[in-house]
Amino acid sequence: MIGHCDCNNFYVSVFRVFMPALKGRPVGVLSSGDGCLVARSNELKALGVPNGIPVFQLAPDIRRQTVLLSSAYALFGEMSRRVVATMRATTGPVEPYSIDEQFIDLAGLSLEALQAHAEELRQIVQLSTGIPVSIGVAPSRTLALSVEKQTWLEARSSLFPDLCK
Amino acid sequence: MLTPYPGDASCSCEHSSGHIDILGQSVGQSRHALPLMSGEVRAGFPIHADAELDRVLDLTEHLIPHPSASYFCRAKGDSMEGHGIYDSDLLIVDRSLAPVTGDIIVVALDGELTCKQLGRWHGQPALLSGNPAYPPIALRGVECETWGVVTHNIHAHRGRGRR
Repeated sequence: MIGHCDCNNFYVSVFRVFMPALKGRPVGVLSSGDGCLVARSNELKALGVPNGIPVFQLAPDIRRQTVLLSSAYALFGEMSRRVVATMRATTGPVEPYSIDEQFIDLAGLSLEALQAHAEELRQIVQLSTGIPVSIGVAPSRTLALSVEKQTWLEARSSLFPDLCK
Repeated sequence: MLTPYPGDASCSCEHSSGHIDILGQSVGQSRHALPLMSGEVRAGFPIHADAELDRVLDLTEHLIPHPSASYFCRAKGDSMEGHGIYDSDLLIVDRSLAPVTGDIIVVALDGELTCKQLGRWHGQPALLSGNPAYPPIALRGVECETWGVVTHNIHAHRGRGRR
């Protein structure tokens, strides 16, 4: 079995670790040069703001209530490294897939153990790094990614539905 | 070695004491093992120094068992002096530990990070300071979240005030 782990709204979550005042507010992180939105908090997604839009296209009323932050790639890279290091100390082989995604080898675990292990891993990463993550578990990388994507708004772990039949 | 704190909105608040600045990540890879003197240095009567230097100690390893979950923070203000934490002391904060009563913790309170002791007040869980000028904060009905547990406090005895 393969687990796919995605850090929820990663760039926003990194800033929230160090700036607790951002919790519960619409927050957007901008691309290099502050051109486009590259990360949105759930609150900003709920306002209907699509990913990647140029910041000048944000409606004035949305922009007024949103905290917009410049990217801090050295910090994002360090927090990504911490997420991977925390996982490696907790579970089997971890394969970084992007700055905010990892595949995890979960071979040899029973169904119940998979569910419990994915949930434990999620909680340990949240505690140690402050970053909320979602984990999807399925027989292949592609399916694991697709399972995880169905829960992307919440930090939780889930199994490929066919496994549970 | 240290990544500066991002953004311009600082976690700390100048007008209130006991708040902290996050200085950066703790780097676990540095290796500076120094000889560890066997025997103890007693506060009081001097003892005959038994200067065996065959063991070494790496301070980073000793102080930071969980480098991926640890941060250095600079303490600000006088609210924790009763616990031996003085203005501009360096705190080592471990996020991976579950806080227990009596721990010195960094806590997110009203959107800001602040250093307090997790304790009890009138039989209720509360955040305590180490200075009577800062009254306890009862935790009931207060939205706050433990950010990390302060495991060590590095206090400079020479050149205090200079960073």
